[in-house]
Amino acid sequence: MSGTWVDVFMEAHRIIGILIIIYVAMSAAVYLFLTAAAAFSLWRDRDLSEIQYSTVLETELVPPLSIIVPAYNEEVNIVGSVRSLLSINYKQFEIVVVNDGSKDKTVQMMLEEFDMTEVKGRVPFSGLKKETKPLRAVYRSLRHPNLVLVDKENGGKADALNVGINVCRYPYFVSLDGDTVLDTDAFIKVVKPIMDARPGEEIVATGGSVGIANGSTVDSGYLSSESVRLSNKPLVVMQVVEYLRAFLMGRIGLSRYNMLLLVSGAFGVFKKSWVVEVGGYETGTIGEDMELTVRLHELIRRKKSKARIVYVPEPVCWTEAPESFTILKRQRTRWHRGLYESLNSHKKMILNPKYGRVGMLSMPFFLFIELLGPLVELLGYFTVVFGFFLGRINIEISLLLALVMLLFGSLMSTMSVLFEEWRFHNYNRISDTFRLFFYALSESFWYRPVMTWWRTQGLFQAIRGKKHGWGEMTRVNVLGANKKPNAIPGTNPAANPVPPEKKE
Amino acid sequence: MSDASILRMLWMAVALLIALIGLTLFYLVERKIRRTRYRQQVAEAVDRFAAPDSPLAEYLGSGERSRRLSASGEGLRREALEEALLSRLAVSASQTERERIYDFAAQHFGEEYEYLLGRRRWSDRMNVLLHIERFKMGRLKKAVLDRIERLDMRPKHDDERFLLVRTLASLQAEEALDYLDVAAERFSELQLMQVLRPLRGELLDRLIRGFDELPLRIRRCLLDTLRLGNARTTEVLELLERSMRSEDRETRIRALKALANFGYMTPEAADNLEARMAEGEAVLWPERLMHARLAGAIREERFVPYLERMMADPSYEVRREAASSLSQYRNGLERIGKIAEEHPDRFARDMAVETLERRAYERNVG
Repeated sequence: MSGTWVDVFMEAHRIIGILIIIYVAMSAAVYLFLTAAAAFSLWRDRDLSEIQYSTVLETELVPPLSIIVPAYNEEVNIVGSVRSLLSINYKQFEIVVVNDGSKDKTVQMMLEEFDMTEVKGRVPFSGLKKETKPLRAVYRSLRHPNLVLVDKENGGKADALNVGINVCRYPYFVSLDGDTVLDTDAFIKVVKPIMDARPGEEIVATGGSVGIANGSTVDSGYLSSESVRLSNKPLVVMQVVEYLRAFLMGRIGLSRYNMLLLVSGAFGVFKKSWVVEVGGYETGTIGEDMELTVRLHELIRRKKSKARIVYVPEPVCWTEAPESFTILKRQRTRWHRGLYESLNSHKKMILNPKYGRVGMLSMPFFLFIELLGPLVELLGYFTVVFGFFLGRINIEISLLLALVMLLFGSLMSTMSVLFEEWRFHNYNRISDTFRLFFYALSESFWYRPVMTWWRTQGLFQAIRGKKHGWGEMTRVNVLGANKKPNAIPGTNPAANPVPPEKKE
Repeated sequence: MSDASILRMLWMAVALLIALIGLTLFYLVERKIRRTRYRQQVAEAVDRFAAPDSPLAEYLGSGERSRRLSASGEGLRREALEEALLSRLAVSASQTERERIYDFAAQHFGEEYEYLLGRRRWSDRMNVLLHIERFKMGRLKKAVLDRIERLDMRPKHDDERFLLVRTLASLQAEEALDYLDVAAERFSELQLMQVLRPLRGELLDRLIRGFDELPLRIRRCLLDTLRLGNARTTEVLELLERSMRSEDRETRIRALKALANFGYMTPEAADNLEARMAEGEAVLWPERLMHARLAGAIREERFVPYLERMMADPSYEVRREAASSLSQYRNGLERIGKIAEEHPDRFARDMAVETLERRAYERNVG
């Protein structure tokens, strides 16, 4: 009796082992492919001169942009944020601040500071067919004719963005996230693909890389590449490497084949007509940015359009990364839940040939590698440990295999450091490069296992349907324009920028 | 497979990975060191040239090439000199100084640029084109032409093709016009404008004369370019008035916008505008908006009733434009004041109030 059970168990263990090996081999292949694609793009553009932007900037030819800034209880930051936006390096734009039913003096601050008066006739006219929370009033600044403030009932960030879409006038709009510090040329950089689109090729959305601002000096709301510095904190450096890898490898690779599933909510440009057609932002989800991108892809496929969603490798905005484990954990589990939600609500696209590359390649990539990856990894560790106790495993082989995988991961990370150097060289000191490099090497040995554990937790939370506490009160930060440089709150959760969208 | 052979394979994989990581590190550091040294040189050169008694400042002031000047460039890398000159160009505005910088660049970089244009590395070629444009190196026209001739028609070269054509245009090379057909087919609208915008004098006149033979996309962009360049000749006026009656709506809108910027139109064209305005909402709103703007720029009494009617337009943008146009008229603000009180349409009254508020504010501040 017990003999058969042991046999079954052994057999199961063997099969799981084989499956995991296949999985690992396949995901390694995917990463190699993405790296190759990214290397190919970046290699061509390496050391391209910055004058390419200044030439364009001096002309009046840039397309006009509507910048939507959702604000919730932002009396401290809002004036500084808007001021720094008003001084952007760009020819034609309007700023639409959407006050999402703040309980503080956000509206009064705006009205006083910018001499705003109420506008009566400006009704929402973009025709978004989605219920939004009622508007209280629309104001326009007398001093800056291109500054508009919309006051509305509280409805969350997505709702605020939808209202902004309804009120703004230009064909392209920019969505800005809380606590985002912009690169001085951010707008021109993300708009460039739109300016360069060939006839007949439509650009539905563009987004750029997000960098980590910790350790750098932010000057009146902007961070130029000369003032980027690497933080001294290991946890932050690790995240820098992680961001580089995610953006420079993952997204360049995916964007090359128009399979980009995520235009970061921190800073993205969207074509209004398309966003209106898909019905705007979905309220009540964590990852409304990814959710919107996926729906845009769906529409592109459905219309059999040649429209594209493009990613710009240039770092266009900077965000403050968590410096403590607690907050980092909260961020990562939330991200993972957001990923689960987005994939779950679009499951019909996964492996559906109707949706082309997005359905057949990038959705499965996000499902199997991004979402389930951590789980499989944990399973792998267990299998090895079990095998060890069952005495079925050649210890030397498993240790070596583990070493190969770890080294492979490190190689991927070091490659992304190299990519950064090819294209942007933001970290100018040699010591910075060395630190990035050695942290990249060490990633697999401490940072990654921790992430794996947290992301698995996030996955289980999502499956259990952890939903309580979202929805009712949604915090929206505005770009931390007048945030003091280097003053990064580590322990004060109220001032902490990390959970930018939702309070739990 | 036996355990031994698996082990051997794994060891090989480990060795390979370590070698790759090592190579990456080596390459990275080597690049970094080179770059740091280069940045330092550039910074030094910029500093050296910025000093008031530098040979460059001397040259820019007097126009005389001293021996000290030629000597000062020695031992410096080209890139360092380039950046020093570019930053000088960015800060100094005087025309003679600019001319002298162009001369200097032509003499010192010409040969090397020609060589770089043929380089295999894409970013080298792109960078050199950007510099040729900046330094207005007309001498390199032939080299640029050679390059564009050699480029095959695959779309992957379109980025380079665009920059080549734009460079030709900024060098005022008439050959640039030969590429307009390709450009119309391959380039984005904003790229087309970048190509058309630098054209001056005879080249621009040729385009205006041959307007009807140009591809549609070029025609539209040319109208915008004329507006941005503030071209104010009778030929341009004639072209704009003709285009405002075009079949193509986009062409009409751009012609109207350019005319509003021009600020004048012949009585016949004004008749035409009046007729179009009389059509009311049968015309789509972006065009109505331009009608309102043009009427504000022309300021002829006969447009007033139409503008007053447009104050009640369904589109906010049109109402706003109509109000701002009306306020340009003599007694405009009084008329708007009357609308604020008497107009039957609520939207028109609101817009009138908004406009009056803004004007009052502007008066106080100004």
